[in-house]
Amino acid sequence: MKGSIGSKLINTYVIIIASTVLSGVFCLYVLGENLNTGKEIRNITEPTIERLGMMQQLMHQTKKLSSVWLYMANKKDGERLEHLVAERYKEVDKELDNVVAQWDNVADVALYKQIKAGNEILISGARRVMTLLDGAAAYVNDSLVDEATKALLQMDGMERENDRRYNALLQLQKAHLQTMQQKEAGLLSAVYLIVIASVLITTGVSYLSVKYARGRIVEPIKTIDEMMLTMSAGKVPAYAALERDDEIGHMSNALVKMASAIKRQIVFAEEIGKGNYHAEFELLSGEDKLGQALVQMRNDLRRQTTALLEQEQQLQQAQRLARIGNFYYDIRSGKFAVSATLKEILGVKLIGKEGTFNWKQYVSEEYYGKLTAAATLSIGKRDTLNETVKMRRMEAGDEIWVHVIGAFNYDEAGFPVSVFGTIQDVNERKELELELNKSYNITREQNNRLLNFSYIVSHNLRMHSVNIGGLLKLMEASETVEEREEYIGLLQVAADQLDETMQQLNDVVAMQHSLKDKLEHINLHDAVEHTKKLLTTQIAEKGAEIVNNVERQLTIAYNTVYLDSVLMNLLSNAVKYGHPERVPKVEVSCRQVQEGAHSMWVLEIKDNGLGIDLATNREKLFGMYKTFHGNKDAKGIGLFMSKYQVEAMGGNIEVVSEVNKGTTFSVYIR
Amino acid sequence: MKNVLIIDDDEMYQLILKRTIMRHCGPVEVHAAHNGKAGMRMLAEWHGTEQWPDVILLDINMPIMDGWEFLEAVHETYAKERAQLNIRMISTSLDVRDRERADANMYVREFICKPVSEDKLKELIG
Repeated sequence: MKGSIGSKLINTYVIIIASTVLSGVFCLYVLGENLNTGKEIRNITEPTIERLGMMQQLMHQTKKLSSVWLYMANKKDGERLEHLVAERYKEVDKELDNVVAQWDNVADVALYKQIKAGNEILISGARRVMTLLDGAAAYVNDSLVDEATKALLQMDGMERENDRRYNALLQLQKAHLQTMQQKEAGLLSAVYLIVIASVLITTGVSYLSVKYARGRIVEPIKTIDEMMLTMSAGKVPAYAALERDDEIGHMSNALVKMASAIKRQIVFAEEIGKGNYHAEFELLSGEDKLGQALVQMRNDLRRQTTALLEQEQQLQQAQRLARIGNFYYDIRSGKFAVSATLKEILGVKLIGKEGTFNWKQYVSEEYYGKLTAAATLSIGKRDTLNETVKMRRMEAGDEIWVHVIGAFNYDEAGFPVSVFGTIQDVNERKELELELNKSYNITREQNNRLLNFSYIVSHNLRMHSVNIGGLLKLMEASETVEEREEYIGLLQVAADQLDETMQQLNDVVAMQHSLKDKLEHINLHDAVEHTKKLLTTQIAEKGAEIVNNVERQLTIAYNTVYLDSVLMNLLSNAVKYGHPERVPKVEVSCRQVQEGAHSMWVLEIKDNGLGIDLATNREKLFGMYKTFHGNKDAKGIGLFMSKYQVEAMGGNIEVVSEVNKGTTFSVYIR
Repeated sequence: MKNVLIIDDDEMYQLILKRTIMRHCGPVEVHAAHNGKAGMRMLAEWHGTEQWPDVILLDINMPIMDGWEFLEAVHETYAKERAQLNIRMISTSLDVRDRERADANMYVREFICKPVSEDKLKELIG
């Protein structure tokens, strides 16, 4: 790897190892040289010098003993000489030959050979002296002595010659020894120097290596380590890659790439977190497990969200069809959250600027108290709020019936903090229900009246039968003709009364069967005038006045029989029950009133007659056979029939009265 | 002599009852009122005297003050004399509600359906 830390480190180690090995080898070599030099000194040079000395000494002794032998021969010296020549010389010569055999200097060897030759001459001279002068007799032989002296002289000359050679050779050998010794010392110094140099090089290279490692490896690794620690804590620091072409550089680049990748993954994850399930992400590699997991998560969430959205749309559609919406109301802050459908039902301007809602503003005044009471009760019972009230629609400007269901949430202290619930538009149903209730109430009332009617019919018929039965019993028991005739007369009265009752019942039954659906356009003013004509006699009797204030052109759609019957009953009553202290005056008028979207006519018949105590009589005013003034003509059937007829036409009849002041009947005509 | 008060708006029945009582119940004084109000006036007049009726025969359906209103008026005025009030309700009504109401009223001792038999009158008045 080019310029890698590994190669640099290997280079460093190679340098250290090579220098160590080289210095070791060199040291060994020098040490070997040193040893060889020492060996040569001790095995060759020093023994050479020693033996040469010994040989020179031996030659001196040989010559000296030869001289002694010439002049004064004794046995002892003769033996010594003999020993020197026969044994000692051979020993030392042999040793010298062994040493010289190791020499490699040709000149020295040649010189030695000259010395050796001189030695031989000296030795043979000594032998000749000894041989010549062997025994005391020889001393007396002058020729022998002369010959011996000649030989001795020859020896003397050779000795001097050889001494010169010895000295020269010794000098050469000593100089050689000195050179060798210097060489030995030099080699030792060289070893010391190599060791020191090697240590210095190794130390220097190691120092440089450590310095390099510290500056170029440890510091960047520490930085990378810190960054990785930061990343392990979940943060992604800004970090610039190191401009290096080595492992650290590669590591740093990889770390920057990793941080960048994590940043991309974080951005992607954040987009998913924000609900952007359409965010795209390019995988870092085929093995990018985290990326794959994030993409999988996005896909799952997108699918779930789509499904959820579909469900929500279906729910909204269902709510729209059911005209129902849900809400969440925070009681403390007044904050109000609603579903889209609830906005549609109650109008989009439902919620205030700060997301608040004012129930009092939206719940109809009439029902606000009812709703709060129901809520209080629900909280008290820890029950669900379930109430139908009317709510205002600000934009539409109307009020509709809604059904409110709410579940309260409570804090730890048990106080209600919020309510979640639904509001359903039940207007149509409720209106229908109210309409049905109204019809039901009318029907029930009519049924009650019919039941009462049947009791009354039975009562009245039995009354007459009881009377007739009682009269017959009295008649049977009568003792005189007059008495009998009286009872017959009374029976006739009873029969007439029965007949009258039957007639009234006929009228009622006829009324029940009359065609209430048969409507005609009737001029109301004319109808009043017609009734006035029919009452001419009664009016005249009482001196009464009937003022017809009904508009001349006013026409209503009504059943003629019913209208005539109602007018007849009310006007005749007004005349009949006039106050004894004043002239009866009856005013008839008609006005229009508005009831919801419909308009109605109200026919009013106002008199100044006796009046009725409504506090006690209101309930039985329109009942059958109820009379109030003890008037003998009162049958108690007129108002019963009038009420029935007016209600059958879809209207109603009301009364306002004050005793001794007068009565006003109001007939509502649809 | 015993006193009987009939309160009934039916004059014919008043007459029949009066004559039947006089015929079958020995010496007895019979008074009649046409409605509850008239009956109350009579009670007020007789209060504390020997005229106080031994039996009151009370109809239900009457104008001005019916039988029920009469009973209320009696309760308001003569609650203390309840023991001395022998009120029998007589009516042709077959309405069970009337009978129930009568049974529940502490002043009504009996509810009798018209006609009242001679034996019943004898039992009541003696």
